[in-house]
Amino acid sequence: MKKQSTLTGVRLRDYCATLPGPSFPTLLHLVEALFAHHAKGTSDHDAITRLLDALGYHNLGAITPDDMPRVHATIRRLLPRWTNELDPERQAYNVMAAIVRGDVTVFIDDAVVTDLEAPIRLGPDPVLAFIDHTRIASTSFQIL
Amino acid sequence: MTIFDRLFRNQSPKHGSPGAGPITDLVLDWLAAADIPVALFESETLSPLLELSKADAYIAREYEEQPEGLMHRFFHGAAILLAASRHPDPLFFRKLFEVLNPEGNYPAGLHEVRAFVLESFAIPRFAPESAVRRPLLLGQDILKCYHAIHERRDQNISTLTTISHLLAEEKFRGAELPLLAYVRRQRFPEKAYVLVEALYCRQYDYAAHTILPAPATDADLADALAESVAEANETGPALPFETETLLDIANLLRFEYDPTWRRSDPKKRRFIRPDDLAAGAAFLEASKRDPQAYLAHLVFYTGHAHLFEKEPLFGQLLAALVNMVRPQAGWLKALLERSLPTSAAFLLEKAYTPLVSSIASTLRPDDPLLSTYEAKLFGEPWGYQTQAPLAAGVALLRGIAERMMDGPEKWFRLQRLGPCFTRADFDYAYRGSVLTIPGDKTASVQRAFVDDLARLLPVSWKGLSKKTSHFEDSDSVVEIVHDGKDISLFYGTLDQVNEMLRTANSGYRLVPIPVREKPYFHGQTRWLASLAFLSHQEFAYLNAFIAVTFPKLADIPFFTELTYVVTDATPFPLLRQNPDTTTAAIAGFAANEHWAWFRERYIDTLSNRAAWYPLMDVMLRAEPLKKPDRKWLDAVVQARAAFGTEHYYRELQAMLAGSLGESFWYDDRYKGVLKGFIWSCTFLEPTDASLNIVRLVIEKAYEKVPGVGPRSTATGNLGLQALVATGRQEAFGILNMMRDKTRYNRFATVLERQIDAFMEASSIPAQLLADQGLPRFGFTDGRVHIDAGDHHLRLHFDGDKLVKTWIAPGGSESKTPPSSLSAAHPAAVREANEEAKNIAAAFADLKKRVRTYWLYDRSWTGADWTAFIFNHPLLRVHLQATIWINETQGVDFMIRDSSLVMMNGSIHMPQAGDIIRFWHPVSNTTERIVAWQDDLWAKGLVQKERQAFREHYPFSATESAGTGTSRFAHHFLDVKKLMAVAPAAGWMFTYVHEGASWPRIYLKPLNITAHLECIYDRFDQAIPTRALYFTSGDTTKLSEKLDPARLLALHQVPAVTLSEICRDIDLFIATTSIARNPELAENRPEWHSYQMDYGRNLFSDNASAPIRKRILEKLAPQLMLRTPGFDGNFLLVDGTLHRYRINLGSGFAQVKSSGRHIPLLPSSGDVKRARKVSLPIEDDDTLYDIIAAALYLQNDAAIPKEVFDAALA
Repeated sequence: MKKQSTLTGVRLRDYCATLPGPSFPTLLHLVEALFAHHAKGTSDHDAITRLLDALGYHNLGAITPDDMPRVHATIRRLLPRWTNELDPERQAYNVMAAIVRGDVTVFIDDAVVTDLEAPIRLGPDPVLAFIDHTRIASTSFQIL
Repeated sequence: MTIFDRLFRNQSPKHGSPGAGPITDLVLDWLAAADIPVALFESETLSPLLELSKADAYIAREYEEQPEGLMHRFFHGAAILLAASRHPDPLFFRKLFEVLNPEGNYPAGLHEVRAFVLESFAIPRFAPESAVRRPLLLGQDILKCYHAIHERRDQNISTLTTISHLLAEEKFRGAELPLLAYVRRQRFPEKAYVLVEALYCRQYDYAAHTILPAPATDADLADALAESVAEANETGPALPFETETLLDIANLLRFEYDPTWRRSDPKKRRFIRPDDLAAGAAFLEASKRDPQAYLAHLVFYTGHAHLFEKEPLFGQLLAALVNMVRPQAGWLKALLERSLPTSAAFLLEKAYTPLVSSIASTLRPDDPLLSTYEAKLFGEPWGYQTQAPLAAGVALLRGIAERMMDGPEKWFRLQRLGPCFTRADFDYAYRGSVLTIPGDKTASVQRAFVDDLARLLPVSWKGLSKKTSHFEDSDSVVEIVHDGKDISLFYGTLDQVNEMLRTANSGYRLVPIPVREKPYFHGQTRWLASLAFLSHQEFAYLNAFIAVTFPKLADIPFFTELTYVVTDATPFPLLRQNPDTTTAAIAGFAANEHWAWFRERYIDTLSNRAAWYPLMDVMLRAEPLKKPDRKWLDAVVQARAAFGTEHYYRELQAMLAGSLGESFWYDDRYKGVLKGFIWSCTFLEPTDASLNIVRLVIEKAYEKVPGVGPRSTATGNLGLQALVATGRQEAFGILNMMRDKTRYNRFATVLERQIDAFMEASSIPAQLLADQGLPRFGFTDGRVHIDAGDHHLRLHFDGDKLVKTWIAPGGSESKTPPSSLSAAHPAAVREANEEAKNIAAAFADLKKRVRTYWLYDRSWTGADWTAFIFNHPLLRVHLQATIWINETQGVDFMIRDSSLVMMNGSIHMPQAGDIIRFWHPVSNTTERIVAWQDDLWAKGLVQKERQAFREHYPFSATESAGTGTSRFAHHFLDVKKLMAVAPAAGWMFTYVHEGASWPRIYLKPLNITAHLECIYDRFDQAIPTRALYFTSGDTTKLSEKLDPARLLALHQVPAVTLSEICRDIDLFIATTSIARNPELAENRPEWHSYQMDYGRNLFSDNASAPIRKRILEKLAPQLMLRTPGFDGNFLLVDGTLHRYRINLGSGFAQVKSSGRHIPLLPSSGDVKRARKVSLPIEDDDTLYDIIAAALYLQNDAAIPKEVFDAALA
């Protein structure tokens, strides 16, 4: 896919770069393949953010040496859950559930995906978009 | 919090305030002794020195910031230097060095004083060119001379060479020679050497390019030399000095100013002979007067000097003098006893050993001269070149020992004198676990060891493997074969060999005989030991010897625990006197011990093994031949006739395919036979199959062994020469296939050379000749048949897969070899499979040629193209579904099976004179490209070498007129990855010298080089790309002085070639950009910001207006957007009050009719927390803003009117 997508030259469409091929039996397979090489939420910064959220702090400075036993305990307790949350299969099913609920619309190469069971073949220069309706709904505007 | 401590509170500690201490006491005492009042010193020396030095900004700043430290340093330093020049009393010097090198901690400020006195004052920063500086500088010079003569604590302070340099500098300064006066007063054995070195120096006039005549001060130096000679001769030494001879040596040394030497390439100076230089010839002529004295003096000089590149010349001078003398034992002993540490190993080789050797016949084995010589021989330090004692010296002593009376003492002495020496580490509870056999390139020591072992056990030498880079460099792993098993001798050699001897019930054991203790690192010692096979009787003698000579080794468990079962074996040296049974047996392959394992492992598994034995006899005879003679070739033909040429090649290929990866083939003992095989493949009716065997050998020989280089260039080159010598097209095709395939620059260079050699005799262009020569392996109609026992193996291609079909005599077919065949002819099946594998490999390599059609901008006449490209049975398989263009007729066509089809489905017939090229999108219009793309999609064809969908890089007319392009500039590439990726794409980019390299590729058929300019030094982890240039010819890195004449305008480079080069670079950027390596990118701010820029665009193709438009077009109905469509770059939205338009690029909204901007501030603060679903692709925030704004605005009736009106007012 990486090779098929670059007519323009330098910048590649990165989300396609790691896909195994252009064809997928169903949308679920495509989503899972995208998650399999998905780096979002895995950086050190994300890990620290999760830890701070769990501790109820907003910055690292708030952690004092006295907190260290609690920090260790929290990490021990929550690490399996955090890992689980990053599992591609689980994430893929979450997305599929959201699509079924109508919260997410999938757009592939000039078409909205309506049949979740249909096989998918990406074109030579594919465009993929996942539109999250909950996000649109929760966006409010203020007129200045 | 510690990180903040580190970041914000990390201030360097204040320098401790220097106080009074032993150094102050010494300074005051010394000034008093020199009769310099402190007040006078301060006013006359210190103050002016300080004031003048403050002209230097650095010192001025230090004076402002840390005046205490500076004053401390200046006061003590200047006082010491002044006192040293006025009152050079050794007592104070000695005390000074004691104070400056204290045991334990340095007192505050002392280190600075030490550096000032011994080093930094020489820098002109301190009161440059002033009267106050001169006496201090003299003091420093005297201090250094004193250290070099009497102290010699630290070679960084000064050595004997320093004195010579300082004296030489002084002699050019003027008539006053205070330093020489100081040196003259000192007594030290190397004084004559130091003065000779200072005397020979001349000044060079850089303007006139001439050597200036000797200064008048040379007379003083000559006086001093005469004085030092008289001084040294006072005691009546055995080797008295002569002033005249020393002056002749000084004259000799002036050969360095001889134009022959000066203008020669330093690398080639080893070929300059003494007679080529006037000074050398004069010296040799003068030495005829008294060669012995001249030799002694030359040895004296050489022994102290650092010769470096002059070594070969001095070697020749010494050899000439040694030839002239007939030394007396007493004189020689005196010469040997002189301590000359600097060039000891050099003298041992070039002077002592030849001298002793010249009178060896007159020496008795117990002559005291020999023990002096032996101490010298074994006493030399181990350098990187001298891992083992000088072999010639050891052989000399052994030769003399042979003359001893037979008896235990003689046997022991012979055993102690090698030839196999080792470093033994007796310090660790030594059980023989750490033991290596150092050797040289020819592995003579290791071979001697295995030859000795072969007298006791049936073992064969197999080779030396080079996989030792993680051990000490000169150590190698010896590979032997014993009982049909491969054994590596390296660590644990002793235990391993002794276990073998024990199992074989041998009367000998392998024992290290300690010869001399040698200091090793960190106070440890290692032992030089001779590795010998000892009988029980010899071992008992050794134990007695150790008890007397090296009592501290007596308790080493190895010596106490070694056991013998057979105790009556004869001493090993007697065994050695017997003729070597193993090498004598070379007469026949069948009986040859060395080849027993090979016979068993490789020959006996072949189909016609009986026919191989006589053939191997012939091959063994190839070893001494420089080239195959008629007689030998006839013998091969005769031996080969037993099983037919075709079968011979097949079996040879099967045998080599299984064994070429092993190192033994490249060892001296075996590579003669490999040579024979190569000749048999090239000099007698070569076929595709036989030349392909040679290719196998060459490629294996030139395979890169990490950290070493090619496995064996000798074998590889032999194969290449044999290939070229055939003069056949097929050989040329194979050379080109290897060239297209290899990614190893060294191999590529050799191949280019051979291709050139081949081309000299041909008028056809190289690439066309290569096309003609590509191997076809006997394929006709896409098939080939191979005999396998009574069956046939049929090969054909299905797609690009080689399909094997086994055909029984009755005609029945099967995909796998029938079990009856496998059982009856296992070797035949294996050999047929091996040939199929070889064809498949060659077929895969052919694919690599396809891209060169573009890269080299190839074109063919219709006749050539049809004959060599289209009708090539293997190539055609690769070229299925490829598009070609007939330029003469102006049509494109595609290869489909065995016909040429145009887009409209009609068949194309190229004429013989038509010009045909490989189609490339860059030289086509968009319509043509799209048409072919659609055609491929419609027919469901996949191109193996992508053409219609190929990335291509057209250049506009303006760009093409320039000499470079910066399209690929401003990327940071990961150097390590680039060094892997670029060579794999055929580019050259390796660690050469700093700054000497950036990625470049030389396209030989076009004679142009492409350069991807990067500024890089070897410490960089990432390099910034700059421009892409092309030059004519094979050029290396373009220097700062960019020569515009060599640069090509881009339009001079064929468009297809240019596009392919750009595609490579794009690939480099895509794969090696540090934007993909966040850890690395964080190292430097500029890398990080590059990564951030890159990162913002990583998922960004959605984040562009055209793509948002594509998405919104489809999503609008689902979102129930009331949109009449788009207006250019705007999304139109119908509200109740107005029609709005939203900018697809920025997300800003306007009232359509008035163009009035609506100041909408989206608030998505809670969105992230609210959203439970994690999506696989990064959001395009603007797209969300556009949709949300559209939904918000189409429902404008819900917005409070006053707010809305206020905003639009």
